[in-house]
Formats: sequence, structure tokens, C-alpha cells
Amino acid sequence: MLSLSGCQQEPRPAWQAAGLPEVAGRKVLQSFPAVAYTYELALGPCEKDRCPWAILLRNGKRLIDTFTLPVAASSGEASAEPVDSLWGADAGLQAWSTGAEQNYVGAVARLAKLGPSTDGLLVTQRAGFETLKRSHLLLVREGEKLQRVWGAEEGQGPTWSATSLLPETGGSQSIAYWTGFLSDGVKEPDRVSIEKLTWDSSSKSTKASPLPDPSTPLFLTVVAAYPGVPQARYARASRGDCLANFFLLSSDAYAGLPKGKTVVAAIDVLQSRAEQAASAAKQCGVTSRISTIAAGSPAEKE
Amino acid sequence: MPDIKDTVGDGGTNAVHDVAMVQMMLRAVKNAQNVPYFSADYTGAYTDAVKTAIIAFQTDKKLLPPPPAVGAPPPANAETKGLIALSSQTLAKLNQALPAKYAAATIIADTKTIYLAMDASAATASANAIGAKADLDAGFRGNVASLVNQVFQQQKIALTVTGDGWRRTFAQQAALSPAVTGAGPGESNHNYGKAVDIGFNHLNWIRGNGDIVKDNFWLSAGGMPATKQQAFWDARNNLANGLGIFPTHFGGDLIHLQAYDDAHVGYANSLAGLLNSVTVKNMKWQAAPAHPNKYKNDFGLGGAKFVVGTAREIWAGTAQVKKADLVTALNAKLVKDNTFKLFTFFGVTPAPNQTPPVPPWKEADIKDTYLVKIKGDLQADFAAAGTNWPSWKPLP
Repeated sequence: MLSLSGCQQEPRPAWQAAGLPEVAGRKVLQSFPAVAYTYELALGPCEKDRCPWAILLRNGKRLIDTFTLPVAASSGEASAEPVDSLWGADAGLQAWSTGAEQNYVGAVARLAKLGPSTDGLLVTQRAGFETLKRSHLLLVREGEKLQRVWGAEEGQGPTWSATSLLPETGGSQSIAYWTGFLSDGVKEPDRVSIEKLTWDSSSKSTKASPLPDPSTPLFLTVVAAYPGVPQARYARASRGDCLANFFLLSSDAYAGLPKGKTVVAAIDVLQSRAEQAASAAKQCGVTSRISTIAAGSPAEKE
Repeated sequence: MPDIKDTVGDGGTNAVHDVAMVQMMLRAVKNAQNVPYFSADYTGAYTDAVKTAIIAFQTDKKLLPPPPAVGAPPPANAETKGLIALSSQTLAKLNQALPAKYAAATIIADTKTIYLAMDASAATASANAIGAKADLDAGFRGNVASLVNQVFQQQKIALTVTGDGWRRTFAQQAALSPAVTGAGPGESNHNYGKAVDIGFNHLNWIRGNGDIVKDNFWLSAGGMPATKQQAFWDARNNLANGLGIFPTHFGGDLIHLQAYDDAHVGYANSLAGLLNSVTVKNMKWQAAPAHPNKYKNDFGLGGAKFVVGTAREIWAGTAQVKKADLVTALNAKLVKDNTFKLFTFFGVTPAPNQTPPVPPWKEADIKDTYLVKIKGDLQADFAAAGTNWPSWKPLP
């Protein structure tokens, strides 16, 4: 029997008295507590086969702003997915993924301390199957609003990109932003470049500068050098998945390498990750050498 | 010679492609003071500045008749002030004055990007190369060759297939960087001759300021805005649709065309179907639904299936075979078939006085060589699938 009391609404909690309404069917996958506020990575609610990913901003429990990410999922069911060096974000993180094959969409977020009193959320999405595409954006809280202060999307073709947080220095963190064009041509090497995005508190925007720079060298984990791209491509492929995360780079772009060669190499902004790449290669019986690419080297000219 | 399809100017039709062409020409052509008649980037939008530029050009070239006496009719064949018609003297003079580098300028109807017509021989060579690719699906390659011919006929663009945009063997698929594709060996319709990546390599297009830019297959080398890129892909796809050729449903892969609509095709399911039809080790395969891009296999024991890794891993001989899974499968097999022999299954020749471990088997009974054997069997099935690729069928 239906009781009258069952139809009466509970009093609204005080935290719901202001701010945005909670949305039914939205799942919070991960929280990122910052000073005074919390960012959340959320999925849904779904309408038919479209499930938007969103970043929520809360003050306590009060939802005060939402930002919808550019690529929607086709399923509201997300599972954890490890982030490797080619995923497009800091390797070692845990991403969330939905769908499979053409419907695959993954997302990963991490809190960035952009300045002594500014934090932001760096978000990367990856989608696709036959061709993978990534998008990156940096959200910053301004008052009680989420502002997109930087973003990038991969274009057409065999492109690759990644974002990674640099270690905190002087109370702030910069972002390393990789862009790559992984040539499918027989003779063309991959082209990978890295720039540093630094928060400028006066303009409330990011400033881009090339890497390496005096405070941030690059670390090149070189497995081997070959006379040309075809030989390097064959050598990489013959190792199965072992060297799949390594690029085919022109040695001419880096100081200290033999000229005119194609090197099978990984490139990073962190020595620890370069060492991990070397360790992974070693597990496959492949030895490697880590070179430090300092500012002023030809790498800057690539 | 650059042309327009209808009138541009005051009272003209002012179709976006015609306006863009006239703007570009008036920007490239300079007056006696070496100043372009139209100083802004071409956009396709008809404005007063375009009208002013047309009149200035007509005036400089003395194309406008003197004002007629009151009540007198205008002279026959006179140019209309501020208007460029198809066969007008203004258009002819504009073409005469146009720098030679723009002589092949053309544009697709209803688009805003002018480019230089490509060479017919390039289109012919491309169509012939596609038609000669015996490992592409016969009907598909014929349609794609027709597409190349139609695109050139209508748009003067020679579409060409990228270096690895043809059929790819399983080994070639495995050699692609996982940074750019999630499809492992056997998981792409390129592996079955059902797809090509065909684009706009060497297309010379003209920036708003008149600079000529040579682009790549993907129109991504010269800074062409995304909306303009999309217009080229749409124009290609409009013709492809009429030939029974389909783009993929994933928007990030515009260069890709295929022989069928893939909205409801599951590539892991389709590969599992092929593996089941060509297995050389009497194995049962299945896509692992809860593990995207992974596969399940019964190890050839006829029972439950276990996750054995991704296509890349299996192809490389590094399948993720767990001892615990293998023990479970072996013990289940023994329950069903009490004549089952462990050593026989793994091809072990026992040493003198060596007896097989007593069932039920435990993980400790599973030698590393047994795992190697299973990984080899899994890999052998993938190799068989790679050899027998024409048997592949798209499954949901």
C-alpha cells in the first residue's frame, strides 16, 4: 500500500541549497582534492549511446561548475586502464576507458600545481581504434568557474601527442607537451618534439617554450642505430611488442649520436622514465644507452 | 585557367566558390602602383570591398563604357560595373593579368579553398596502381580506382594511397606503432584488402594571402584549418558514397575508406571467427568481451576459454598464458577424457623412468616449456589466419 509519507520529499541538504543541481545517472570515477576545492572526473548521464565525460568542481559537497570534455563515450560503463608511455599522459597513471574498438574512449586526469596559489586539472582523452587520437586540456579554477586555459587536439594522419607533469620547482609545476608525426613512409623517420607549458599568473595563461631548456634536459634512451629507417623499422618490429614504445628518430637531431643514422629510441623529460624504458628493453634482452640532451643541442632545432 | 561558374558582383549570384576565386584573383593581380586590387584574405564572402576591387580593376583596364547619353541604351556587349560574368571581358582580363603560378587555380563547388589542378597523369597512375593491386578486394579496388578517376574528372585532384594504406599483412600491421593505431595484427580491415587510406598528397592549395602550400596525404602539413580540410574529405566522400565505398564511423580517421559500413562490425569478433575457421591446433577462439582487444582460447582442450592476451602479444609469441588457467583447463579435460595424457599433449618424450605428474595437476606441474608450447600454438593459429586472410568475414 502506498503511504503518503512515501511521497513526501526529504528536506534538501544545506549544501544543495546553492550551486548546480546533481545530475542523476552521472558517475564520479575519480576525485582530485585541491586546496579548498575538489575536481572530479565523471561519466554520464547517458542519452541513448552518448555518455559525456565531464570534470566537476566542488566546494565541499556543493557542485559549483561542470566542464564537458570534448569526446563523449558511447557507454556509461568505465573500467580502469593502465597508462603506458604511448597512451598520451604520464605513464604509470590509471586511466578510465569505455567501449571497445571504434567506440573506445579513455580519459585520465591529474592535478597540476601551476603556481603557489593556482592549481589546475590536466586532462587527456584518447579515442579510436584503427587510428588513435588524443586531446588534452588544462582546466583552472577561477573563482567558482572552471576555465579551459590550454588545449590541443591531434590532427589527421599518423599523429601522436602526450602531456606530462614536470617535477615541482619553486612551488609550481610545468607541463611537457609532446607532439609527434609517426611517419608511415618507408624512408621518413618519426618526428617528435617537446615543449614546456608554464603557467603565467599575470596573464592567467600558459606560455610555451621549447625543450630542452637549461632546467629541463631531455633523456634519450637509444637501443640501436641503423643506416636507415627501413632497417630500424624492421629491427623494431622483429622484437614484437618489446620495442613498440620506441620511436624511429633521426640521429642528426641529437648531439652525441652518430650522424646520418636512424635510432630506435625513447625520449622523455624524466630520467626515471628513461631508465624505465631502458629496463623494459633489457627485459627483452635489448641493451640501451641513455643520453642527456641539454639545452643548446641540435635537438632544439628539430 | 581559373574560372567561375556564375556571376560575382553587384546583383550577381555570388556563390561562395566563385567569390573566393574572384577574391583570390583580385588579390594576386596588382594595379599600376603594385597594390593588389583586393587586399584582404579570400574568404568566399561577398562584401563591398570585393565590389570596390572589381570596379577598380574594370576602371583600370578601361572595361567600363562611358556613361550613355540620357535615354540612350547601353552599348552592346558592355561590361556591367561591379559585376563579373562567366564570359565577360573582365574575367578574361583578370585571367590575363593573373600571375602564371595561379594559372591552374580551381575550386570545388560550395567550398572556400582554392587549389591548383593536379596533373592528369598522376590520377591515371594512381587509378592504375589501385586497379593492379591484386590483394585488394576485387570489387573494392575497382570502385576505388573509379573514385580516383571521378575525383580527378570533377575536381582535378589526384587522390593517392599512403605508403601503408594498402592491404597490410599481419606482420606489417604488427609493425605499426601502437601510438597511432589500436588495431593489432588481424584487427584492421586493411589486413583483408577491404580498406585503403587515400588522400590528397601533393595538393597545392592557396592560402588566404595567396601563398601556395604543398600538403600531405592528410592535409595536415600546411596549416589548413580543420573546416577546410573537412570540406575536401566531404567532397571525396560524396563521390565515394555513390560508388559503394564507405568512410569509417570514427571521425579521427578521415583518410580511411572501406568496402562496407562498419557501424556494426566487431573486429575482434571477426578475427576470432577467422581463427576458428583456420586453426591448425584445433583451438577455439573468442573475443574477450570484458577485456577490450584481448582474446580467449581453450588451449585446444575443448573446455572453457581463458584470456590469452592481445593480438599483438599473441602474434609476437608473447601471449599471456597463465599456469593457473592451463592447470584448470587440463584438469577439466581429464575429467571429460580419462585417457588424456599430459606428456602426449605437450609433446614431451619422457626420459627413462620418468612418469607424468599425478592428477589433479597443480601449477607446479606446469613446466615453462609447456607455456612456450601453448604460446607457439596460439601464434601458429595467428600465422594461419594471416595466410588465409581471404577467408575473413566481417562479424558483428
